Amino acid sequence: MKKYQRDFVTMGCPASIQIFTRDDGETLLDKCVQEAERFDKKYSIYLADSLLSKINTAAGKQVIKIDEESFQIFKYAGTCHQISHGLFDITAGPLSKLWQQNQTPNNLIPNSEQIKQTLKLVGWDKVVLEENSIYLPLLGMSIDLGGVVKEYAADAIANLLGLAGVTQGVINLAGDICVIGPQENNLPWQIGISQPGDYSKPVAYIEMAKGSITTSGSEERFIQIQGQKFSHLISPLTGIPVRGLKSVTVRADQTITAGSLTSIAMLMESEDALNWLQSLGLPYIAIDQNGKNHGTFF
Amino acid sequence: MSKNSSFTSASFKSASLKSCDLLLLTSAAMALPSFAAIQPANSELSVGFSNYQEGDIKQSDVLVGSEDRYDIDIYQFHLFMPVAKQWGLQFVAQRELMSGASPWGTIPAVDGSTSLIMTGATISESRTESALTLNRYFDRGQFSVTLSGSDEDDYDALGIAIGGELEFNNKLSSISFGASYSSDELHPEEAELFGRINEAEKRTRSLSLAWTQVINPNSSIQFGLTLTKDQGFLSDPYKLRDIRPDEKSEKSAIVKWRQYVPSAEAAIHVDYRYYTNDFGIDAHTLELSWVQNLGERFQITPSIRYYSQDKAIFFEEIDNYLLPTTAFQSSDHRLAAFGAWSFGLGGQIKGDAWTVRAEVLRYISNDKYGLTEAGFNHPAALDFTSFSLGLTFSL
Repeated sequence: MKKYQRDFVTMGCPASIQIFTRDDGETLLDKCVQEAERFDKKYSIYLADSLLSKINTAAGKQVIKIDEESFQIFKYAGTCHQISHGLFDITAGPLSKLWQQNQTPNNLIPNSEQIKQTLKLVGWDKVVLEENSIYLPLLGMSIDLGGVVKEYAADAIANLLGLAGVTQGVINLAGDICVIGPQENNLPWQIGISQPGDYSKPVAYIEMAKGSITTSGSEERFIQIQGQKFSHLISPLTGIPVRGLKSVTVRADQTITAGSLTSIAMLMESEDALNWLQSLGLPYIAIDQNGKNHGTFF
Repeated sequence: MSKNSSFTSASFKSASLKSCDLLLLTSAAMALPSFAAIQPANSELSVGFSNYQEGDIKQSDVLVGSEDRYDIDIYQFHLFMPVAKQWGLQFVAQRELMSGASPWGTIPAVDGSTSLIMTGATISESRTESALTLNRYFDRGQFSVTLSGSDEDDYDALGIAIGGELEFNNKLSSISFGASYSSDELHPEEAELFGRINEAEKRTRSLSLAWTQVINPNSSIQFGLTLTKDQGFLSDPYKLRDIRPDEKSEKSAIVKWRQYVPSAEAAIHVDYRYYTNDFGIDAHTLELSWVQNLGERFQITPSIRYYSQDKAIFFEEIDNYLLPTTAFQSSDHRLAAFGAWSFGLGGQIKGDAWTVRAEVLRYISNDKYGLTEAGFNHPAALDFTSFSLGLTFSL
């Protein structure tokens, strides 16, 4: 069995895939990269001709037809919205935009009226989703599938490799990690969990032979207004940046599930998030604002 | 691993999946196309060998013939191949080599008890069975068509079956269904010498429906119903006086419960089956298994099964030659009232691309084990021991 590795950039992030196979590994890796690019072209909010851009551009104007895959992804996002009681909301983009556009020296923190007006454009429950179409009913509404698509792409690539008979390998899409199977000689992969904002010092190494692991942090991405740092995560319920945990890492069977769970936990108040993570029964590591570690070790 | 870590040690597998949120999320994820494709990725080849050895009958219970009962060697072959993206083809073949004696009939003994008339010990038979299944996989289920055939010196059978499974409710629920038809031809050996029927036919139709519900991440339950109709020659042509109706309706209901126990890395399987037919047999089967994982590669499964049935309405302890040949009667031990216990121990070792399975099973039966004691223990009441070994390769 020969090891093949490909490092590439997808969805604006560094990615890496390592596999062990007796087949033509390079061709398989080409297909994996194509699959990642397919997701990027379809769901990027930065590409004007992506499906997501078309949906967002048509907000308040027209219904856009979608395929089965997109319907299931939106439906999945709806389930995230449901279990998080509205905290995880793929329509929260206008709020992020409001806070980010104020990051100039002359701007102020958005006032309550601005937030109130923007909140009117937010809410998954406003979206009209049918099996073959989607409609954003208000001009200015938008969808961002961050926290869903990259994670699902990792699972889709794992599925593609599985169908090709690959049982050993690891997919890393910018920290969303999906372990297909162990390394050669059945050795597990060493996965490092980094300190928020400092990737040179992992807080732990986890041995994984199968499964997925994702991390969300607030330290590496933030909004700075008049010298004050805010989390880039804005609560779609209040319109205000959340001040919850510094970082959450969750291990689950699927990357998309792990990714959604970390995203939801990051949107909660620290104590709520820790209680909720504990209730899930999955292995997790959470770091609070004081730098204290919480959770089960793997 | 960080030495300063304050994390509690806990393995992923032993995590207690209590959360309803997680169940909802996982179910929604499983509906995504990448997870929904349920077609197995690899070709699979299995070979197996089983030996089935019936316990000998007490010499004092045999008036004529051999007390050595059946010894059967079974060789199995199974091949699965994915074809295109959503199709699969399966081929199963089985060869059985049988030798030993079987009961011909019953007769009163001098002390008033029941004696057996057995065949000679030199009987040796073989049976070859094969089946070809075409599977079509969909995002929310699968559909299959199976053609099967069986060949013995005195028995040929051809069958067709269709089956399917449909998942819904975010894959938390599924319905499976099946329908089958088989046409069997009997042409007993030495028919003229022993006055047996020269040839006969039997047709069997069967319908089944099952509902499986995931209760939570660690448990599921299944309810199933099966209806079967047999028509044609249903008697045993080799018995001296065995006359059964030419129609039989069978109904069975099953409940299967699966519970994973995270703290033990094990699963409990509980199966109950109720069976009834219009020959008058009501039967209950309860099976308990404990599937214990031992690390990633080993699994051991002890199991116990209890079975109890009533006798058929035309069952006779002793063949009654005074009854007209149009009257139904049979002294077949399989139609008597009895109970049975089975004790099994299975094991499995899993490699990267192979799995070895082995199982040993001990079965004992007696009228005293039945839910209601029949007061007559058939001298041919069956005890057997079976052993099986199988090897599966992922190609």
